[in-house]
Amino acid sequence: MILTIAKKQLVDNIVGTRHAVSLRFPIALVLCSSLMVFSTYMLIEDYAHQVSDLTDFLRPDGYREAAAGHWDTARLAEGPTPVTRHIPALKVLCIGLGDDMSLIATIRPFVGAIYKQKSFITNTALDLFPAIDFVLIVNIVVSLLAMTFTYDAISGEKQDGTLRLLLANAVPRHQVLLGKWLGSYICFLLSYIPSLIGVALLILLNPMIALTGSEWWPVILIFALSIVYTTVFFSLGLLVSSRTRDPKTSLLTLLAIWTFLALIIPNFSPYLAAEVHPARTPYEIEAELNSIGFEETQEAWERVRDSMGEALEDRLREIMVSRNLKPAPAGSWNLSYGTWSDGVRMLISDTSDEEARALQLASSRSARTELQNVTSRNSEVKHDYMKRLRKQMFISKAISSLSPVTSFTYLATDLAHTGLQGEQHFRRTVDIFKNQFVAYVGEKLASQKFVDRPDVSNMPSFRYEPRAAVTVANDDLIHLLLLALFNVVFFMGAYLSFLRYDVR
Amino acid sequence: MRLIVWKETLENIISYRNLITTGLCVILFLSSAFIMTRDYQNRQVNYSLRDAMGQTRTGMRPKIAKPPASLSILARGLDANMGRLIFIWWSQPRKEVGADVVDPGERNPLFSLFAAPDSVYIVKIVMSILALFFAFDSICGEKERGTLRMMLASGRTSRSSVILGKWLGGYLSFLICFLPALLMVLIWMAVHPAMDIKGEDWARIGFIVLFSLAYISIFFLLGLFASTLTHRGATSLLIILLLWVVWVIGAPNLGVLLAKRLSPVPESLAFMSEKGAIGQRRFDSQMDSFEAYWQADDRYIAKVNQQADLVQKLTRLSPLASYVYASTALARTGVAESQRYQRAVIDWDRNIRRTADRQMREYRKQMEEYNSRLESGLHAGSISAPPERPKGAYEWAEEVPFDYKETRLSEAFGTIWTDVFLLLGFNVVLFMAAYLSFLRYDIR
Repeated sequence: MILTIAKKQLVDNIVGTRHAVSLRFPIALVLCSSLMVFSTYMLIEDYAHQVSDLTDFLRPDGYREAAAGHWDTARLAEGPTPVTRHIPALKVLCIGLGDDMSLIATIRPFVGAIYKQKSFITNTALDLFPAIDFVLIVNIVVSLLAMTFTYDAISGEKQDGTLRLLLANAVPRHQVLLGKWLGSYICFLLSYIPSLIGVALLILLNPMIALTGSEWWPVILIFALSIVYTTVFFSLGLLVSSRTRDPKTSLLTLLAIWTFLALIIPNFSPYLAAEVHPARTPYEIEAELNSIGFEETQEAWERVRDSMGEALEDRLREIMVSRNLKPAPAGSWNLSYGTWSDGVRMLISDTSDEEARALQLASSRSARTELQNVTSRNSEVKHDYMKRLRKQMFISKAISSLSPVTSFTYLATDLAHTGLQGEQHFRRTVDIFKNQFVAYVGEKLASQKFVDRPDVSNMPSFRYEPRAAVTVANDDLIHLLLLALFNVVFFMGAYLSFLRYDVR
Repeated sequence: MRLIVWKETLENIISYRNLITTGLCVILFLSSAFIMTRDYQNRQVNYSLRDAMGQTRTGMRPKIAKPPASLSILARGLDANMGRLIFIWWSQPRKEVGADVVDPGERNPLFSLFAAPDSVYIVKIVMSILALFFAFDSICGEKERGTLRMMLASGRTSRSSVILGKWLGGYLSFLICFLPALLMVLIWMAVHPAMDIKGEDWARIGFIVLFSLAYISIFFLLGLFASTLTHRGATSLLIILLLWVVWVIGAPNLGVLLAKRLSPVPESLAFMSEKGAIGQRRFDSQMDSFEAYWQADDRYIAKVNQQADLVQKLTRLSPLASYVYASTALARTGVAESQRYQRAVIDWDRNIRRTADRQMREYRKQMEEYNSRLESGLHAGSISAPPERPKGAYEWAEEVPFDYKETRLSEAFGTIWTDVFLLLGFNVVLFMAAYLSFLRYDIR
């Protein structure tokens, strides 16, 4: 019986209903596939343009060449040593963070890792509209289409009076519901899957993207998840349809719910989270770090000088004067280097004056201790702030998980390596490399003369490996579970409501 | 006809749909005003920090140059872009001019994943759907109930007065739902201590409200038009929903993609490395290298602006884009404003460098004269003191004013008259379509 009902529903949806030729199947098919194919095609073009612009810039071995190209070892210590990641090919499906995604970080051992920002001059007109990609189309368009397949499944038949006739034939209610679900679902999939095939073909046929075997997994997963996600709205349509008396009310109610889920919750949630758990603005933190850097560094340096007595400064000044170098004014001592900048370092590196060398070493040692104090205060402030920010993000995600839209967005962008996870992973990889590189530079500075060209044969290597789809999905398990939960709840809701539906 | 307007208004006001809509509007607009005010206050704090970020020994001195726009709580637009604390040239030498002080990794990235829910967002997305809800069955719903036939059968009402009445009454009743929310937001803006809204700003707010009404009316008319094309409410709703998706979500975004394809701009990272290559070249004087930089900048700006123009042209296919351009321009958060701001920062930077260069050259010349006089062996006693070294970069920055002026109301209108025209034009066209289609409507 289920199959008969399913078949009838399928035919109704595709060919036509009681009153008119059904519009939803052809409209869904045409709208969905044309939007998706067009947007994916455009995004592939965009990606190709970006890749060809940046090939020279994002060479994976660029950092090694930059390091080998330095004139002397001292410069190796100052950087810049750029490390990069590839532009994720699946940007053509999910733009994710878009231009905010870091592709390149410059390592400067004394400063840290600096992430390249986009240029100041940008086309701001682009910022006024969200970019349209596969994720946005699924989130907004396909979810809406999915609901149009079920909004009148029950209430429509009731209005026509056919529901009563159907149940009068001693067909069990659960069979009616399952049959309706199945029939409409197949019809919905028939209208949706051609778009997926179209998108997959576009990706497959473009030589720029060239996904290899395991790289197809994220694509397949994103497609599968999009079906799971749209099923949520499909079942929601059935639920509302079995709780209302006429199709117009069902559609209006559904649209109201959909507006909240798709257009309001995701956009309000970060702001609400900021209200619940406020954090200082990043600029306030930066200002505080600045004052630590300025005032405390100065005080620390004064302590170093006090501890060394005036001997160091006087002696260095003497050496410089004897070599016709202009001594820097007292204020330009630099705690990071433990001495005056450039001039003195060069001088000490090739002076044979043991006394000066000893003084410099002693000053560096006490300066390093002071510098560590300042640095640890800095990182404490930053750490507290980041902790608070992460909590805020957690709350924001918790609020937004009321809507399946955000769950799907997080999952898809993470699988495509264009989302938050990809960004964090890149930053973690850079951090690990930075620590190795700093240790390496320290070693080089100790063993090699500053003026020699650096030997980079045993330099640590940087390699950014995108995380495997399984790992990504595992980290986003909560979102997977939520999507499943929404499906189960809505379907069960529809089932139970229909069992008690007044068919008269 | 007055009777129809009256009937339509009354019928709608009493309905359940109306209560829900009014409540929804009040909740959405007030919560949006609330969180956007907080957002605005944060930007004010950032602006006040521009000097506290101040001088350090490495010469870091970032500045934010534009105070946040108070009307951004209605239309946030590009205000956050313009409100960034940016580096200027003598500051951190390792960052570009105009680079943000804060690394993007230290912000909450969730803010940029979804659009900001300001009033313009609620109007452009939520209110447009609501307007469709109000209009989708105004004709076909009456037909379904059989009342349309009765109304026209009496012979005392003509078709044109029915459609006019439906339009006026329906739209008015929708506005009545919108009014309490609007009033509350206006009161909020008038009394909130963080807002500093002066005379002209109220005119701007007034125009933003007018644009919102015109934009909403487009969707109301679209609903009316669809209801004269169909015979069942549900069909009409389905059709307009799909039209809404294509027109509001699809068209502007696809316009953006198309514009990027037709008028490509080099990737900003590639452009920055091109500038880096200029830096490596040998130049006779520092000014020569600056000039080379500036030429590269100007070429890039020209391309970017060309793309921005095309984006605006193509996206205007959708009234959403026109509405966004018009309201952000009036809120001083629009595209033209941000281009003007970028230009002002760039010119400021150049003027400071020119001033610095001029003063240093003068100093060097004076110093040479002084040295030659010293060398010519005159009596040391008769030589005056050496010339004074020019002041540092900080002082040059104070000497060269940052020449950024907000756009005046008339200037703002100069950039958006196309949008105003389009918003009205869509209204007229859709009304005509609904009118003509109703004249031939099969009322049986």
